[in-house]
Amino acid sequence: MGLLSEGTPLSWSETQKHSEHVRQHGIRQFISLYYRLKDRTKDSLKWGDEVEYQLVRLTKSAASSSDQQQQQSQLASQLALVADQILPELQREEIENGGRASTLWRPEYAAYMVEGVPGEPYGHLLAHLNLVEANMRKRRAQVQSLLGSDVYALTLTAFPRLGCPDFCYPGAKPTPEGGVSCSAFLPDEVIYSGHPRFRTLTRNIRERRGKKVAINIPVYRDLNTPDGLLEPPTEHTAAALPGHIYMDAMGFGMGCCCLQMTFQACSITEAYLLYDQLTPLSPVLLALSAASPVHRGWLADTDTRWRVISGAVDCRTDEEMGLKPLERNRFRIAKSRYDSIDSYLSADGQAYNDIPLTMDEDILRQLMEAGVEPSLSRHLAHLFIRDPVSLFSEKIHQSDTEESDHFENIQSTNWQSMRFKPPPTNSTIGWRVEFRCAEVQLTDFENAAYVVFIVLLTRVLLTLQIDLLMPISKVDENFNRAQQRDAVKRQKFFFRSGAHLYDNDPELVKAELREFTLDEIVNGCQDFPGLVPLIRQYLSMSHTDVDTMCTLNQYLNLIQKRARGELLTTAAWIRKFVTEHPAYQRDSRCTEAISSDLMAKCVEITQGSYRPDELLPCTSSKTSDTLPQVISDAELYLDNRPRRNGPK
Amino acid sequence: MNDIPILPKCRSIVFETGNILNWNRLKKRPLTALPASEEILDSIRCLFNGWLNAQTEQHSLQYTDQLRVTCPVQKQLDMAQRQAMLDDREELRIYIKLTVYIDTYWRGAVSDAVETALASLAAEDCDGVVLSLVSSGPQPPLLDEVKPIWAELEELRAADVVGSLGLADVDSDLLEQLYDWAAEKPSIYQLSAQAACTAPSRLREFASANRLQVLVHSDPADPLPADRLRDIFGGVLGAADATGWQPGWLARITTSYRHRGVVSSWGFVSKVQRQVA
Repeated sequence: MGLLSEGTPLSWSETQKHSEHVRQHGIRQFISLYYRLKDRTKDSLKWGDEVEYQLVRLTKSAASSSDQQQQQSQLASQLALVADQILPELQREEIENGGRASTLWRPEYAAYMVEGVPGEPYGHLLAHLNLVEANMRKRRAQVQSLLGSDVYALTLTAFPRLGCPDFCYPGAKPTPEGGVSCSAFLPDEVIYSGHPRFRTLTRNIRERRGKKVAINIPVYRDLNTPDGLLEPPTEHTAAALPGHIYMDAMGFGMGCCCLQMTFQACSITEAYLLYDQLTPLSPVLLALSAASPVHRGWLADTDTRWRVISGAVDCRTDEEMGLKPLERNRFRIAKSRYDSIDSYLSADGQAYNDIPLTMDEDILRQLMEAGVEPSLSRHLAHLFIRDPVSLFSEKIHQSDTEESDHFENIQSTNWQSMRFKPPPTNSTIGWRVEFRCAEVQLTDFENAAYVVFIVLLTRVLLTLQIDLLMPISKVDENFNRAQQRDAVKRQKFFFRSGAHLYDNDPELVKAELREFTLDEIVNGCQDFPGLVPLIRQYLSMSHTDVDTMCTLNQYLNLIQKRARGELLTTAAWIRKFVTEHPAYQRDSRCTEAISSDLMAKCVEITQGSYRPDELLPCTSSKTSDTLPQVISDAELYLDNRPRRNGPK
Repeated sequence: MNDIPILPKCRSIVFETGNILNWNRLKKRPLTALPASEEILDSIRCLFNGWLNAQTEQHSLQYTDQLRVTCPVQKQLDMAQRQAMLDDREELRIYIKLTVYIDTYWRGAVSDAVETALASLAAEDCDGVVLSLVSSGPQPPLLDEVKPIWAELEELRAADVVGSLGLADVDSDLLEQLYDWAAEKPSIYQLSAQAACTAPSRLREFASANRLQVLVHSDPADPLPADRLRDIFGGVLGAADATGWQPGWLARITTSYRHRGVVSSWGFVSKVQRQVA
């Protein structure tokens, strides 16, 4: 998101009154944008990544214990609720230079989180891929320089003991009886308070739903794991399911960190294509990047944040979830606002849209009558079944042609695995696609590797024009599998076989859909060339400079080894650390002692002073802060050179 | 296969693949990652077989002296790309990797190769040619062998037919000597992708001091070994047609969309020759 504008948030009942207004004007704003910008072509490749950080405080534990059996750790780890203190300084360069800086910073949901993006998007050269890690390092160094000596900026997907006693600093108490989250575990202080947006979303989602959110994640069953309910029931934990880790606030989900990428396409058609073709790849990336096996102090039977966030922002009422007959609500809605996408956008993709799409028929009609393509109309009519869950009084009355906040209101609170982004008003930016599944890894090397892997895949898809589409119901099935414990090694995923990468016949494709391991998908097998071999084929046709090639080799090597199981995913490594810790009691609990030792190790890994062989390769990249001068000069020369018989 | 040669008088064949990326789309060949050393040869075999099967009569081939073997199936797709070339040359980047066989080099071969390559794309010029040399014996090419070849490239550069020049895989001695001698200096040096992480410091320093881009390639040192060529001829046409063929030159052509990092076409043209009684 861009710099958040200030404003006065409305209460939920006020917001609800304007719901139809926001929807109607949002669609008109979109239609206006669409008409102005649908024929844009020749936009160059620009893209960027977003990295989220958690601020973790590590101190010597106050309680020293002589109890040998407990083997108390000497450390205590807590989330440091200091984002509002460091953000003004992080944003200073940007504010002073009229929006320009080498890195840009944004608040995120939690008071212990910040988000950093590169100041300028990366470009189309392969050499740009060599800049990513250096920029990520710079961002981390920037944050770190503003933190006290015992606070660390970690790119950690989920803090293991979020919501456990004493998990934050300054200390704060949950307020289940009132406040914004009404959580039995998470105090409202956890929510970033420098801008009202996040508290407003939290309260409104809860009020719309009529009760606090209920997240239940299956616990990893070990020898001594409690049977039935994991914890004694209280009046505030009535929604807890036996055998599940129960969480009850938006912060459990939106307080997780992730890694996101946005690409600019050369035209709206290319944007549809990228959106669609990246969709079957999202579960693959989710499984490969899995990094969050511990929630609220319990080891889960899943390795990713996906279900947690899905439940954390689920604003659906009982009627919408099908638990009660429809009376006050209009629709049965199959999924939470945060989940995988429900339809493909390209013309060829329509044949694979096999899940029912709940749509606002009036909005669908408006879009179709306005000449918006059917696939896009259906997509938007589906997004727009949602109510706005945050509205500022200053933003109620807007121009349908000059502004787009109402559109963005609904668009930005549909948190899906992919996002299709129209050009903003008054800018030179084109149609874009955002890839949102990947979990964030501990080191900049890994994060750069995953980002570069996805960027290269987009170039391969556009170059080779292969078709990965499969029924979207199968993508959802893959999503379920991708979240499971050790999915990389233990699951198979539906994927289009190599024989059909150029087929136009959806019936044939559906009939011959195969299940592959991640190793087969990434590294290749008899029936599929493999994502990395395809990338190498693309690279052999392209101009890669020697340093970039060295870096790309390192990144592809990491991805290949993770897919093969030769290197552990971050989730598998965390799980192993917890279960092999001397204090672990085979009861699925990640105690304070275990968690603090884990956090200390994560700090060492992040800083490069410790490198677990089973997680990371021993080589490093040749990443650089700037494009080699000789390469940018060559590009400039080629853009301007005289040609034989040419116009210049 | 028969013992009567199909092309008894033929002394020169130009193979023109068109856009090999289209071959995959038309299922002419399954999408697999062939090792680099095999890709060119396999493509020639595929192309040659396809061409032969498309010949409605073979009698006139008895008298053919020079032959152009093109891809019969994909005219339409290629035509669309040729049109794009005419309409939108500004949006494209065309690079040629030219392999010259020193043994069979003749004055004019480079020009021949570049013009043939450009004609296959309906283009008037290209953005860069990188030269790769195959010597006859184990010793690396000598400066005197390279000079006439480079001189041809300089002429093309001067006429703006080629936008920039480069050199692949030569040792540092030859690179520095050529750089010194040439009127039009190379601006690109290509080395094998395997060597990317261990490029020698002498090369890196020279490149840095002289503003050379150091790029990588995955091409085999000798893409058209004569014995493999003869195997292909033998396999496609018959043993009677296989003798004497030598590689002349190979021009690998890549076209990309400017500013997007997407390759729009990849293929090659190649000339092979032999003496005939």
